[in-house]
This record gives sequence, C-alpha cells and structure tokens, in this order.
Amino acid sequence: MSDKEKDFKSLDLTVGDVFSKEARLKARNVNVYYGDKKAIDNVTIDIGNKEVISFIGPSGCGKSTFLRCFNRMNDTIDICRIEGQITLDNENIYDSNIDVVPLRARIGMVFQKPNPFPKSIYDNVAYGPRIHGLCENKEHLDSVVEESLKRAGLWDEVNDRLLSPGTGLSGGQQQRLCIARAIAVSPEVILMDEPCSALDPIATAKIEELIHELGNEYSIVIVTHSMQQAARVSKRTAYFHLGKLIEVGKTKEIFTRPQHNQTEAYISGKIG
Amino acid sequence: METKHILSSFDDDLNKLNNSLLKLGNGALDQFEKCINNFGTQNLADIEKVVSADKVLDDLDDKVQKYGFEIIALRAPQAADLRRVIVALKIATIFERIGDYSRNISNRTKLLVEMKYTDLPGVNIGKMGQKTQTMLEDVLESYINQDDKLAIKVRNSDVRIDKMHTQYYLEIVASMQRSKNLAPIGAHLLFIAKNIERVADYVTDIAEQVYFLVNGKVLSDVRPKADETSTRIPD
Amino acid sequence: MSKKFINPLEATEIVKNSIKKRRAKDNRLRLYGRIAIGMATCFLLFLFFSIFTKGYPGFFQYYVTLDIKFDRERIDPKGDLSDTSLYEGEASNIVNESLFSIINPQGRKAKKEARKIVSSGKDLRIAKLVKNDPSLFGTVTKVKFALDDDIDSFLRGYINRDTPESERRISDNVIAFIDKLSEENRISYEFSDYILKGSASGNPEMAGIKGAFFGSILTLSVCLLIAFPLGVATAVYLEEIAKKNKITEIIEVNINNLAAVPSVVFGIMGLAIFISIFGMPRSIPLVGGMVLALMTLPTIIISSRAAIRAVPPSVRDAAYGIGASKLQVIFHHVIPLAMPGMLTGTIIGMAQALGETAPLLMIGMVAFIVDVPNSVMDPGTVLPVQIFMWADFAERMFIQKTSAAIIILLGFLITMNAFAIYLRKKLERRW
Repeated sequence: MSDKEKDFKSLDLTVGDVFSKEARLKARNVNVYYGDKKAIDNVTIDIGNKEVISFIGPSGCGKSTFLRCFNRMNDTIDICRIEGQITLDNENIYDSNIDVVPLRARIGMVFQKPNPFPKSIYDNVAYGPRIHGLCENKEHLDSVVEESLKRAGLWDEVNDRLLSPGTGLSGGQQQRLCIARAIAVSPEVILMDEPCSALDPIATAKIEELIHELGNEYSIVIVTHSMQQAARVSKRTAYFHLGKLIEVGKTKEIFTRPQHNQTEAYISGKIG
Repeated sequence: METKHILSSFDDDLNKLNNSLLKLGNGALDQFEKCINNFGTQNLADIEKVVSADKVLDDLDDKVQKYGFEIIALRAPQAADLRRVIVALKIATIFERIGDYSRNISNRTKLLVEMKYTDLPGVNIGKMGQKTQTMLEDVLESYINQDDKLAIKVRNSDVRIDKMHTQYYLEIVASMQRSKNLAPIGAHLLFIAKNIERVADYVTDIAEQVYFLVNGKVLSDVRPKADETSTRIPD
Repeated sequence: MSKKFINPLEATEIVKNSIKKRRAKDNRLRLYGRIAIGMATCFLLFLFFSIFTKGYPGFFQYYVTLDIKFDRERIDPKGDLSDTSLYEGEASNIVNESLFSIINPQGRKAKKEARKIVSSGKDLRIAKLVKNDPSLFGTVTKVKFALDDDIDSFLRGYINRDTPESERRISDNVIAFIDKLSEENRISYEFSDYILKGSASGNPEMAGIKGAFFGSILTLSVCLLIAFPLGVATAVYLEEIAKKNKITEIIEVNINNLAAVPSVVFGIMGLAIFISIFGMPRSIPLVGGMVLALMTLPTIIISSRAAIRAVPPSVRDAAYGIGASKLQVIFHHVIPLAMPGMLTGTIIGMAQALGETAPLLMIGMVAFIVDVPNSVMDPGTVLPVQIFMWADFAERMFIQKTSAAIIILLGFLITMNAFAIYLRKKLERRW
C-alpha cells in the first residue's frame, strides 16, 4: 500500500484489503446524498480485473445506491448528489466531458426484476449493438446475438424461436436474456443488482453458475441480500452497514474469520 | 459418483477435500505397512524415513480440516454432502493419529534394534501387524467405494486383533517373569503390541464412520470386544 | 394472551352470527346495482328507439314514375352534352308534359299547381341521366322523380285532406292529381337517393348530407394532423424532458383548465385570431380544423401524459442501462409502449370534435354550401352544423331528414370508436 493510498480517510473505518493490484474501477472517498440524507459515507474500494466481488449488508445500507454510481444510473434521479471520485481504468467517470452513453456500454447492468424489452428475443440482444453501431452488417449482428446467447447459457433453449417475444420466457430465462443483452455490447464490467432475488432456487443456481463462468471474462460486481449467495459466487466480499464500508476481503476469510465484529455479527445473523 | 451440483465450483471444492483425505489415508496406510515391515527387517535407515515422513501426514490433516471448514462456511452443505464433510473431518483426524502410532512403533523398534532384540517365541508382532494392515486397507477401500458391508466386516474383525493382543500380553509378561534381563525388551514389546491394537481400534472407528456416511445412522449394536489386557491379572 | 384478545372459538361464533346481516347487505347492494343498470338500459333503449323511429323514415321518400321522351334537340340543343346546353334545354317541360298527359290539369291555376308536383330537381336528374347514358336519346323511358316536399308530407299523412282547403298547404286539385297518379301505381315509397348523395338544398326533398359529410372528414383530418403530433410531442416534452419546476407546474394547471373551457370560446378565439388577424377565409375546413385542434389538444395532452406515466420505470432503467440516450429511450421504448393509451385519448378527442357545433358556427361554417368541398380551402360545413341548420327549417320533411342525419352522425361516431378499440387491441397484443 503506497503512502498516497494510506492517506485515504476511509481506512480508519474500513477493515481488510480495500485495494486490488489490477483494479479496473476505483472509488475514492465517495459520498452519496439523496437530498439532505447521506446514503453512502466516505467509501473507498477497488474492483479488480476479472474478479467477482459481492456487496452484502442489511436492507437500506446503501449497497444498491453505491452500485448505481458506477454506471451513473443515479444521474436519472434528480435529488441524488455524488461527491468523491470514481475512475474506470484511471479515467474519472464523473468528469464533465465524459459521455454517459458509451460509459454504460462499458459498464453493463442487470437489474433485480428481469426486465427484457417488449421486443423479440433477437431484438432484445441486438438493441445494444444496434444503437452503439457495433456491427457492420446483418451477419455480424447475427453472430454477436448468437455468441451472447451462448455465453448466457440460453442459446440451446431459444435458438428456434428468436423472433418470439422476450417477455414470453420464464423468469430465469428472462434474467439470462437480460444478461445476454448486457454482454452483447462487450462490456468490461457487469453490475448486478440482486439478480436472483425474483427467481426460484433452481433458476438462481443456474444464474450463479453462469456468473461463475462469466467471472473469467468480465469484472462482476453483485449486490445481494443473501449472504449465502455471496459465499457461493464471489471471490471477494464487501460488507456495508448504514452507508459505510465496514470490511472487504476474500470471501473465504470473511465467512470463516471476519476481522470486524460488526461483520461477524451480521454474518452470524445477530443483527438485522 | 453421484449427480453433479448445478454450481460446478461446489463439486470442485468437494473433490479437493476428498483428494486430500485419500492422500492422507493412503499415506497413513503406507506408513503403517512400512513400520511393520521394518520391525522384521530391522533396517535403521528405513525406520528413520518413516519417523520423518510423519510430518507430511500432519500437514495433510491440517489441509483437510481447512477445506472441510470452508465448505461448511461457504456452501452450507445438506444431507449426503453434509455427512461427507463431517465424516471426512473425523476420519482425517483418525488417520493422522494412526500415522502417529506408526511413528511411535518405529521409534521403539529403533530401541529394540539397539538392544539386539530377537524374536520372542509365541509373540508374532509381524502377524498382528499384517492383520491390522489388512483391516486398514479394507476400511480405506470401504470408504472409497462407500461399501458399508465391507465396513461392518472390518469392524467385526477387530476381535481377532484383541485376542492376539491378550495372548501376546500374557506371553510377554511370562517371559519377563522368567528372565529379569528381558524386562526392557519386554516393556517395549508390550507398548508396540498395544499401539498396534490401538491402530486396529481406530480402524474400527473409521469403519463406523463409513457406515454412518452411507446410511445416515449410527451403528447401534455393541461392538464385540475381546481385549482382556486391562481386566485380567496374569498368573 | 391478554384478556382483550378474542379466542378463536368465540371469534368463529361471532362471525357466524354476523353472516346473515352481511349477506343481506351484500344482496341489497347487488339489487341496487341491478336496478340502476336496468334503469340506464331502459333509458338508453328508449333513446335509441325514439331516434331510430323518427329518423328511419328520413331515409325514404316518395317518388313518381313518369314516361319521359328523350328528345335530343329539346334536352341538349347544342348537341354537346355541355352544362350550358343542358341548362338551355327544356328538360323540365318534357317532364311536365309527361305528367300533364296523365293528370290532365284544366285551367291556368291547376296547371300552375301541377307544375309544382314534381321536385324542382327534375332538370338535374334528366341532365345526369343523359350524361351518363347518351343512348337514352330517342327513347321513351320510365324515370323516377322525387315528389315535392308538401306532397311528400301529404302522402305521409301529415297534411290531412279533411282540413279545409284554406288551411292546407296543397289544394284539392293537387290532391285529385295525386289520387290519379296513385291509381296508376305511379307513386312509390323508396329509399331516398338524395339523403346521402344530395347536398344542402332549400328544397327538403333534395337535401342530403354529402357535402356536410365530406366537410366533416376534411375538418377532422386537419384537426388530427395538427393536434396529434403537437399533443404527443407536448406530452413527451412535459413528462420526459422538462425539468420539474414552477413553470411546468403552471403549464400543467393551465392545460387541465383548458380541457374544461367551453368550446364556443375556442370559436371566438379562432374568429379573432385566424380570421381577423391572419385574414384567413371564413367557413373553410382548414380554419375549422385549426379551431378544433386547439380544442382537442388538452384532451390529447392529458391522456398522452397518463399513458407515458404508465410506462413502467423498469423499461426505462433497462434502456438507460444498456447505454441508450434520452431521446432513444423516448422514441424506441416509451412512445411505442404508451401508444395505445395515446391513440385512445386521441380518438376520444376526435369523437368529441366530430360533434362540435358552437366553435364552427363562430367561424362561419354555417354557410349554405351546395357543392361538396374538394379541398381544405373550399368553403364547407360539417355534419352537426348541417343538422343544426336543418332543425331550423319549417318544412316537415326537414324534421325527418334531420333525424336521419343524426342517425348518420351517431353511426360515424360509433365507427370511429370501434376503430379506436380495434387499433388499441391490435397494438396491445404486439407487446
């Protein structure tokens, strides 16, 4: 840890290894306000390259809010104000000359409730590449759609009905379609906001296995209210409480010998 | 063996645990086989090798404990998975202790060689050791194949080892009564025979764990015992 | 458990005992509802019944069949079938000669009265027939002519032959002539070919709604072309793009209030601004459409805003998340999803506009227009105004035609609404 990094005030509160060697996303002293209410308090953390990291913590601790800062989805909320610095590959994403549209193609998002567009399966996956002009011709687009659906583990189930509406799939399939849609624009980071909370255990397990595979290609940040899911799926885990980042560390360490007693209490089910 | 988990990493973790456990079990078997062999050959170099190789088994046991602990913390295993992990943790400890006994037997064999020991009539440590070794081989096989019938057979054959132990105990005590300067040799022989008998008992513990792993129930009937060394006063 | 908490067994008893009262209340409510619906249905049926019975006869009128000698020199003196030639021709004389040969009027007074029996549109009818089929020249063919409206009223029974002659609109002579024609089976009661094909006319037997019908279509088209894009764009701007501040609040309040402004005020505004200040001609569908557009805009804006608000935020989130810009989110996702609601609101607005009379009266679309308007700049009138004008006239036949026109207007409205429902269903199914 360099001296410059030691200066960051959040180290007084956050326990564990906040920094990563090959960090893609870096958050430094980030505060987020909803009007006058402070939702995120002085958080510093690195998101490593091609790692799966999960944010856990009780309801209302700010983990979803913090996640949405990474792809500037909080811009759509008028009363939300952000202080501090967030960089993607050392470029500040809140800089005034950064266009939020290409940023969101580099940092994709999957939401809690599966929300495929009310279009065909093909058009759902093709929408991103189309609007960003990623494909030169139809064959290229077809192959991008096929590859995305394959990587999302959905190709075998839908390749014979690509033109049927996306909303006609089951919940688990819809979520995988949303993941395929996010992958189709070749992002570098994928943010997932409680991706399995609306799904049954088998569909959840399939998505977790998918996340495990995707972790070899993309950096993935998952917000989850299920500690067991964080334990199963992520390599690193960050524990948030009332807007503060309490502890970050290897998932194995957090769940076998957490350093902070608040983390221990949350994981053992001793606080809400 | 069984159907795969949807989360392939869960299967990977369980396989890692199992492989370490099997390494430990085979290592313990190997150590025991060598120490019994060395009792016969009295080769000091070989005996020393067994003593120093015990550290490996200790490290393997630590690994198994760590992996099992992590699986319980991170995977919340249920049913057969849970039994696998708990049984693995228990029998790893037992294998490690068997390894310790092999080391103890080897150390005492070293002393016997220095005291120029030759066989006592009526006391066949080698035979007792080989029978125990067979039990250990069988119980390892029963774990790998999840064969509870073989496990029960192993458990029942402990009686023979107990009988041999009683017999040799009486023989050694009688020899020491006959000739006073045989006392040091006799003492060590008694310890070695006791150690082998303890190893056989441990093997039976492992057999009971294998039964629990396969059936989910504890073996209810009483284990047949025939060791009278702690109850019988020699003449 | 504290004493105040009722134990389950007691609770079951209490609920069982109260069931009777609750059921009775439910049944009473159900009965009230049924009575209300029954009364409403009765009123509705009564309304439709009276409209239909009054209006149905308006679709029919009385005709007389005469044998016409198609003499070319007399009908088409110039021989080129041009309008001037036919105008100079003596078609009406030929018709009257044929009539006289049957009824044989005696004396100047009788002949004068006899000339009024056949509707004054006879020239036009002959002219149309020969233009369509010049081979009629040189033949004697039977032709049906509409009867004058007084005779039509007499035949329907509104003029009683027992009333003294001085109080009647038709004389005894004429009654005798009609009786003679009836004896020869030349009088027939048939589906009127004037009501739909004819335009405004002072003569009720020739009057029809064709001009007003096309006038309505042109006016509504102008209204739609102005109001729909403007309304949708305004709604999109207010909901999606404008920042929520005092100004937008004031705008919203004003739009809501405009929806409640009496429509005649828009007419006055059209008069003052479009006609006086901009100097546009009166009575043309263009100006009428502009006035109606102003009137319909608030309805479209309000329903479009509601439709846009109903688009679930999850679709917007998904689109923003994939990197769509604001305009792409609006045009690719929000508007297509809101379109069913927007269209429904638009068609409701259009149906309202179709029936508007007051504002169009203010801008003068009340002129007596005989020709059918061909473009939005030709003077015209609309259906409700035509009905309004006909309702003013005294002749009995106009009353029937008015009712018939009302039926046509209602039919137009029902068709529009049915189209709205069809369109909405079709769009909804796609998603």
